[in-house]
Amino acid sequence: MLSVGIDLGTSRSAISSSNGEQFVVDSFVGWPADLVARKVLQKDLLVGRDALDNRTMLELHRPLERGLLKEGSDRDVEAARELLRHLLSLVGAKGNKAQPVRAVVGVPAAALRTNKQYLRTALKGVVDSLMIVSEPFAVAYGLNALLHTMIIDIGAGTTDFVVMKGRYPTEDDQRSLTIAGDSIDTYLQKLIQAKYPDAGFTIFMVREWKEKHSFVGEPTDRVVVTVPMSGVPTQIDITDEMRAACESIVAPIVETMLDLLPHVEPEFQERVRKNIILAGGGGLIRNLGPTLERALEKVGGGKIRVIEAPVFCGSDGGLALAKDAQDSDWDRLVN
Amino acid sequence: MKARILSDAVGDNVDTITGALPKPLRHEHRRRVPRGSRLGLLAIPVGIGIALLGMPGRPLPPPTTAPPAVSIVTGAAPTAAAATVDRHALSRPVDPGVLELGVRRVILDAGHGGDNHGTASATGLQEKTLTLDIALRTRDLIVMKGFDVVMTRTEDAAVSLQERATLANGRHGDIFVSIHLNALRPAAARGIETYYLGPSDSPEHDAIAAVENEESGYSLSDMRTLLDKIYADARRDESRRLATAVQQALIHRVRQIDPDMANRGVKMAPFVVLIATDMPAILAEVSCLSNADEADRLKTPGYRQTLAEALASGIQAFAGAERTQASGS
Ligand SMILES: Nc1ncnc2c1ncn2[C@@H]1O[C@H](COP(=O)(O)OP(=O)(O)OP(=O)(O)O)[C@@H](O)[C@H]1O
Ligand SMILES: [Mg+2]
Ligand SMILES: [Zn+2]
Repeated sequence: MLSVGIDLGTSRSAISSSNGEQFVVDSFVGWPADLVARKVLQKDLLVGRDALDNRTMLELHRPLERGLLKEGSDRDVEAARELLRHLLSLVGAKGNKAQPVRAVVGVPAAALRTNKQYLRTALKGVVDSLMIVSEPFAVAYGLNALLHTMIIDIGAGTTDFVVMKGRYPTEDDQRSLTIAGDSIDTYLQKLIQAKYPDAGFTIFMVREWKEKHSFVGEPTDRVVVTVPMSGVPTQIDITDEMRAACESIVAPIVETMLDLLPHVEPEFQERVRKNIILAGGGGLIRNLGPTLERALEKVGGGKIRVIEAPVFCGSDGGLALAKDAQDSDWDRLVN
Repeated sequence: MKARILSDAVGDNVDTITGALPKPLRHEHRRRVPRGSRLGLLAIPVGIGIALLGMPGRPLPPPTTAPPAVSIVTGAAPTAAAATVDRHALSRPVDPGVLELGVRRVILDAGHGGDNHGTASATGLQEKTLTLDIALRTRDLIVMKGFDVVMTRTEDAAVSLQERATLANGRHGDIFVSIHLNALRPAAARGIETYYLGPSDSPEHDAIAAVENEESGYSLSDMRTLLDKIYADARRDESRRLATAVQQALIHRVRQIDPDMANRGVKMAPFVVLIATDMPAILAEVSCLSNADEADRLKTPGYRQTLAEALASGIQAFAGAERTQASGS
């Protein structure tokens, strides 16, 4: 018996396994675009970084773009399945009768709402028993933050909120925004393009710059990157653009926090405010925690904790759920 | 606490497996508001409010996840189709080409049934009876065209909206077509309209959705919340195309009899049965029972057959277009 927790993210997917293994891959799956590509690559399928690096030769898929599995698109279903298969192979899951796999898969809250059944069908035959939960819930469970806490998971496709009230979260306890890492990237790309129309760069470069230099509030250093301009490598200053792009998510996040708080019983609101956890890659934006804390001052102040190593947070939570669930539970979750 | 949370997580997944809808979003302390005052709150045009108030009350069946007992007609094999519908035995055989269709299985949903009468004409003609008759006629027609058909009901029985959707999903329908009759004010108003799932921007469409959703246990504001969250439903385009094909066919066919028939168009509204189904889904208000002339017409089998023919040809047109699209790309 192998238990695994999987965080199926829009940009990165992670797996934690009961045999102690942990892996993270970029959520990209690609098929060689033509026969030439197949010859060059010598593979029928590429997953993760491999797919990203060879993207020009591939039909590239990101199975959960914007947090949803695109229904009716067979390739997306296949991509999700291949991604999961790949993760399982990394931890050495054999997928045979000798070693059945029990998996808890955390998905963006929006995907959970709209395509639960579809996801289950897509993952048929990949694992023996399957439990699908919302990603922020998996994070909360893993951190044992089950009571009077708010988790804000700033991912690539979506920013997911959950308020834990000592129960399995209902619709009322959750929110999902489509402003997140990807929307910052797109905005940043637009801003840089407007300022340096001759600079040549891709969205992938923008994402790398962001992951290195992201910040909100006053800049501490200038952000300078190198791009080809009419073929010549040139240094450009993108400090203001970086700030504007990263700050674009602040107002919607604050608004959503303030919108969720009144739904908490009055006597516990302060405890929730003092127990806010920022998870996901977007939580790493420099100075974001303090900025959000400042915004909470007008409602009595709050405390925000940033998960410094968010990569396995969700998959570890999934693994904890997988281990805690009883055999009788798993019997009901056969897929 | 941890154990309870975990067991709820398991239960939630088991619900998915058995095809249950998410629980209604309303809070426990919210009570069902009597029909009149609820409609009042929704600021519905007075005329429509009165029309709704005049309708028989409907008890709320307990939600259940078990599929209802229905008889199923399957037309997968041409011979089976001909055998099932013996009065068409002499018609031309099924074109084998249809077996390549992207749309193979059609779920036909006759609105209302049992205690749930739907709307009624001044003369006492009930929506539930007419929708069933039209649905059965439609079934016979499209089975002949080689489609597989699953009926959500084949008799005068109460089937909840959730049961209908569960059945449709469980039987893996390719499209879902719900057949209803409208009630409009003033009494002279009439026309044909077809809905697909989406937020409506008109209180009038909300009113119609409220009537058809009545038994689901969801309030209209619950529906809005649900809808807001399903912000990128991939089925929407297909549903809109299906709605357009069916609406066009209805208008085209009925205007051959009555050139003045009003085309009320293709519209969006939050119907429970459309939200809960996994396939492209529409709800057609094929005629208007509140209009005396229409009610008279609906009494004749010929007119009901006309409506069925129109529905069948709309479904076929959609399926044909899907096939062209699939092979063209
Ligand atoms: N240091 C950083 N500063 C800003 N953004 C970062 C940083 N590191 C990672 N990110 C961004 O975080 C996002 C990825 O986060 P995460 O891995 O939590 O997302 P995901 O789980 O794949 O997405 P989702 O939760 O939406 O499905 C990407 O947009 C990435 O660019
Ligand atoms: Mg994530
Ligand atoms: Zn009706």
